[in-house]
Amino acid sequence: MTGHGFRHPDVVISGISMVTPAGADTATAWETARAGRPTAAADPRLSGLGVTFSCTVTGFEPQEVFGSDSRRMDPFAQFAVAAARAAVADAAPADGSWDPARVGVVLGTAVGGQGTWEEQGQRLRDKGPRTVNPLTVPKAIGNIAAGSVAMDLGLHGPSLTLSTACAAGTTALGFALDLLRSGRCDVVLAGGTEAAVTPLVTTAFDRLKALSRRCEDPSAASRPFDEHRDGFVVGEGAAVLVLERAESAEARGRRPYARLLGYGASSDAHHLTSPDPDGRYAELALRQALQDAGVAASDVSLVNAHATSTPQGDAVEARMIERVFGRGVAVTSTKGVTGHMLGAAGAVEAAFTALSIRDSVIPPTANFRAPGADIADIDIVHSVPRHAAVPVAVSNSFGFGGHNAVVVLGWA
Amino acid sequence: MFVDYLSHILGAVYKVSGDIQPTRSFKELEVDSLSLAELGAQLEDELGVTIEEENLSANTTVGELSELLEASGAVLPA
Repeated sequence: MTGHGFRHPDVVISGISMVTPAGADTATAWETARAGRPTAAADPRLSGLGVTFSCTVTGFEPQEVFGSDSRRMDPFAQFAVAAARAAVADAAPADGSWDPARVGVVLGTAVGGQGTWEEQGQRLRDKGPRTVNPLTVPKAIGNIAAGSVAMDLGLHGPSLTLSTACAAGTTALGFALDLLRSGRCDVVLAGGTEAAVTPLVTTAFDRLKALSRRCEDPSAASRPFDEHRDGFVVGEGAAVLVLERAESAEARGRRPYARLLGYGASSDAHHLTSPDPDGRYAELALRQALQDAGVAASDVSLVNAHATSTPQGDAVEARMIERVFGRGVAVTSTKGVTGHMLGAAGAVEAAFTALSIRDSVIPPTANFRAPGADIADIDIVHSVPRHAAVPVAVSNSFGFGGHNAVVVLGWA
Repeated sequence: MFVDYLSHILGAVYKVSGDIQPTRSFKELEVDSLSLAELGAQLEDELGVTIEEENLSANTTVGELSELLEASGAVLPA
């Protein structure tokens, strides 16, 4: 490793919480990921549509968590606030040790409160304008998850939502890193949230031919890098990571999960939905992230790939990984388990990566049996978890619009 | 007739605490304008009535709203 931390204060991940299809809490989600158990299943919300399954959060009851306030929150805000509360509890700040004006919130989302828009649009068409909920706008606007987290926890630092499609969770971590390095914040709750398993969004992705149509066998549908992959599975949920400078976690004896070493971002400037065919700018983002982290490609032992199980995207990413790392790095995609959680994906995958670093275990790529002929020669972890020290790891995220975002994490 | 029903909703959904007297206005009960808009929509939805904006303001009392509901032919939900 070449001198990380010389230019910037060290930033650590001191709290993690996930509300995911793999589990509505971090321990359950991590156990499911390590076991490589797929979560895709038939979804009654999608019955009668072209694609009838999804990766759904179960075991999360908004009414129990929020009481009557749950009616004022779209699920994308409910997931985020629940995750933020648990992440802060996990980071365990001493009472009064955080100045609320110095704590920021940065969340990513691809589509925001989509279920609310669809439900109220339906009411408008079916029953007329008087039946539209006056709370529709504040429930559904994309920023409201971050606003709700700030309100719920009484945080007065900057709170904002970033939207870079399916890279948003990773973009949020990168932006949060900058807020901490610049000294603008002491603590940032960073992550992503998504609740877009709706009839319209699912159908629209299907019309784009982006989704797996394996309706007869949903649990086998999300199979990153596999020869029989045929598209992604829409997932939902949130992850929030508590980021702070290393010395503040140390001061209260909190051993962090990992360090957030660096971030890189770029744009393909190529196409609405297709990645640059050679992954040139994904590679640029990755190389920038490594440089920002002060590490060499040879220092990296794990890549948590973006790989969503689409034919084209997985192949481009595999070639890019091979160019940068050869076979010298373990590659996994936890989307085989969680499906594609869109704007939450990057945050969930960074959380899993941090847990890999802490526990020295790499979760297998669920449903992977054999690589597609178009998949470059890379070391894909599959079938069983791999026990290996992970001193430095990378998590990739790419989004429609050509957004590329990469974070580098390492031993705390 | 609707006072008990309104008291129940105000306590359970809108978190109005304490004794909800019919003579008290929504302002006195600290029901803010967002909640009031939501309450109006909820009542229209549940009771199948139309409540004009000018008839439900911060100065409206719980008793007045109850009378308004009664006059508009609302029926208590089962």
